[in-house]
Amino acid sequence: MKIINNENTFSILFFLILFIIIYFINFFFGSAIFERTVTNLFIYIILVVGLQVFMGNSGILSFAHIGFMSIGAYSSGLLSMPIKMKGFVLRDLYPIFENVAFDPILSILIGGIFTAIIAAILTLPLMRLNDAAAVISSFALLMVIHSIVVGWSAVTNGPRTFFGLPKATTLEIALIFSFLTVIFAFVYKNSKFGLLLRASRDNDIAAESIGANIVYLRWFAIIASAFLAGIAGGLWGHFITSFSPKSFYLKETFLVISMLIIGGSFTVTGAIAGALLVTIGYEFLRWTEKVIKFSDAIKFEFIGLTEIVLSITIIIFLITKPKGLFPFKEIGDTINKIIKKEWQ
Amino acid sequence: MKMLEINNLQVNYGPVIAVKKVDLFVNQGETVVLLGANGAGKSSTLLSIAGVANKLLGKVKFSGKDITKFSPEKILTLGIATVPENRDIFPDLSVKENLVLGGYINRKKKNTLQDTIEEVYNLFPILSERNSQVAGTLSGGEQQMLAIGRALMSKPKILLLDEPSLGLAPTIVEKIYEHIEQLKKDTNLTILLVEQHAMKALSIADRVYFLRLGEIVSSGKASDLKEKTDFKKIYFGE
Amino acid sequence: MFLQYIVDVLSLGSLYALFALGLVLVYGILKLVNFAYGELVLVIGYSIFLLKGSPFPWFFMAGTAILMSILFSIFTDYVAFRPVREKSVTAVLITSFAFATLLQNAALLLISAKPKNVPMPSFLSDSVQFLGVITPVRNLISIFVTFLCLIIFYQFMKRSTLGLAMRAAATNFNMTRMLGIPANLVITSAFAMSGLLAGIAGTLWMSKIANVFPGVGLEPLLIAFIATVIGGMRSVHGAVLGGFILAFIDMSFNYLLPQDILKFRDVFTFSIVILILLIRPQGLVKGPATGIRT
Repeated sequence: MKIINNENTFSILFFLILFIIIYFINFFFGSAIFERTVTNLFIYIILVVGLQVFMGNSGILSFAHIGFMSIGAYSSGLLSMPIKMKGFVLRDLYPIFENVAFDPILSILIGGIFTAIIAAILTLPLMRLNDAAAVISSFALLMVIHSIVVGWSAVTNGPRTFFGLPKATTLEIALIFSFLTVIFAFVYKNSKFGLLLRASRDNDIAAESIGANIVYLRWFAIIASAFLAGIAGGLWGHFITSFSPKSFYLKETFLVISMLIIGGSFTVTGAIAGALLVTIGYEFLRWTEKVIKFSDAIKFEFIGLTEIVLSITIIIFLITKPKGLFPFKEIGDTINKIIKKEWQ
Repeated sequence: MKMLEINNLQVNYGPVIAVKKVDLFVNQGETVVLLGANGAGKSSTLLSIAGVANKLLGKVKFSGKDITKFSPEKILTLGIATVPENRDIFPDLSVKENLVLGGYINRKKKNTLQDTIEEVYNLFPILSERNSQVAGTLSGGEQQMLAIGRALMSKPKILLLDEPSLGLAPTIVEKIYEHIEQLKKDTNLTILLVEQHAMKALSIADRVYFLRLGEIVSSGKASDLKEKTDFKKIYFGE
Repeated sequence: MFLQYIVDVLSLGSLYALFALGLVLVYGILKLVNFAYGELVLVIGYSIFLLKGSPFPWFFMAGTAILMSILFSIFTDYVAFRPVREKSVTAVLITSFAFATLLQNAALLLISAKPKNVPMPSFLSDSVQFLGVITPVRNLISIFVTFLCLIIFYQFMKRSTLGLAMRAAATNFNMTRMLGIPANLVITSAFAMSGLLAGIAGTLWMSKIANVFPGVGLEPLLIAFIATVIGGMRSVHGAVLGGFILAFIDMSFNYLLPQDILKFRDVFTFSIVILILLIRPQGLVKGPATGIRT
């Protein structure tokens, strides 16, 4: 199979155009809030597509993804934090880090690689587990990472806020990283590794008989997935400039899994669509919450409304469209079909 | 009158079509045997009557009533009891507990339950001996007897038996079929029996259907068939 | 000193064991993980809180709360399990997770984010002294209630027809249905019993922490999970054993470890979970045969 096939090319082109359109909408019409939302969106696309790379191709639900994001955020922040801030935020920091401060983008990249290495070490033994065992172990992994982050105050400031990161993530940077992620996801999905992994998802015995080493295929996928999560974490950390372990726990895990499920975990298009829709919905609901709060029309604070609507939406989706909005076909497949029809 | 009737049955498991087109019927009091090699679709046919297989097409009628879409529970209450291919006894429950569950639909009638258990013990004395033994420790033949006994607990009108000889030594198979014959004599129970083990099954059958690759290829009275020497051809195909 | 340790482990373990038992009931029969299980403690806590100030005696309030727990457990089945049971194991995980989020945020929205005090009879916190052991009354009640529950539960599963049916369903659901036993009855009963156990354990939990807040269900959920994985996901005995083992681990850490290592306690416990999943995924106590075809 060709890696650069029609479906892939069309899909990638489609999203390139889409991203550029979004960029220009912001350029001409965007407010500060809009730009912030869009930057957030691109970061979330990296996160969700990263999850799709593992979950969609292997068929295994992973709860550990946000844990990897936190590793990326903290490690990149540790590297890029200005020296003066370090002395202030991380009182007990190890001497080796005290006097270094790297370029933020470099830090983010190193953070991503570091996350990938950690993931490689921690997940290898888990890759041979199936079904409930695999899911529970990924959940346990999230808990372990979270616990370490909360406890290791020397480098993370513990449960307290980790702040002082330079605000290095611009819309442009987020967009570029996001687009690169999308390209990678498509290339991977249709590469030999991706195909074999997907074969194992549907029938592991058959896949093994044609030479698929399922454990290593999964391992590679989760390392890539963790790398992307780490990058997303680094970008997010350098966007929001301060965070705490609470930002990387169950609520965010639920959010990212919702995005993937609603959009469709088997396709990259689904991952992006899910991120888009849920972000829009989320922002809208948050805005509604604020409006109601500030207008005195209803004397009731709608905190939690967003999560409630999201929960109900995801339950409805799982009942009616369990495979998501884009269950099988990438956007490129559809475009390819339309073009073929026109040609006839 | 036709007690059980199957028309145009098609059963699939995902992309695999296990039963292409099956038409058969069973009259009251008859013992009908469904013969076929492995993969012919015999179990799927039985399971679709029991309500647990995916019926793609076709109708199952019981005493004239259309039961095609009925749930397994409902089908049992109508009087159709199934003894599946692997016996499916509950290995961690005792012999008695297995039987009690078999009589679930009669559980309100305390005396009936006890009497029925006695009847089953009369038919299968070995079960009486193993009354409180955990079912998983029984031998293959004993488990088969337990499975049949459990099915009889609901006082069914028709018994569906899926390969009672499966995995059992020939002497045990003899015993099992002796018991089935005794059952027929005592109760005149209607039986639909699915088998690979042709000879034994034919010995107790009234009528036979041959199933190959999901379709009925031949049928007739057992007595006629015993004379035909080329039934092996029908069984295994050309 | 040693006796004190034993009493502490037993009282904590009894609580953990009840939580684990409620979880394993549903998993055993349906082979499905119920992420909304912990929220039953939320239901208990807020039920007692909302009944505060009512003229009823405390036992009545606790009883109502437990009833609510049973109802919400059955409700979980209808909302999160039944509609997607056929679809996939993953789907059920996510719907129950979503339902848990829904309940937490409903509490957040309708009541408050702030912790609310849950009134408990004061005698529960009184200390009792015997044989050199000092412990609050509620710890002894915890041990006693759990002991009682386990006996009743065990008898029920052994003797009653419904109990038999549930055990059968846990082994081979389809065959159970083919005997005319209504599947829905078995499932609803499992959820109801799960709700009852969680309700009792949750009430005891509340007597310990005396506070309810939207995230209160997380810790009991994790406890039930870890205990079940350690002890055996398909075994009732295993779950109970796992509860005591986990309590033993937690207590031992509390007693032995210095504060700066103690904060990594969860790392250790969850690493054990992963280890068990890798080495002996069925847990310490093997469950019933799964009825897989030979």
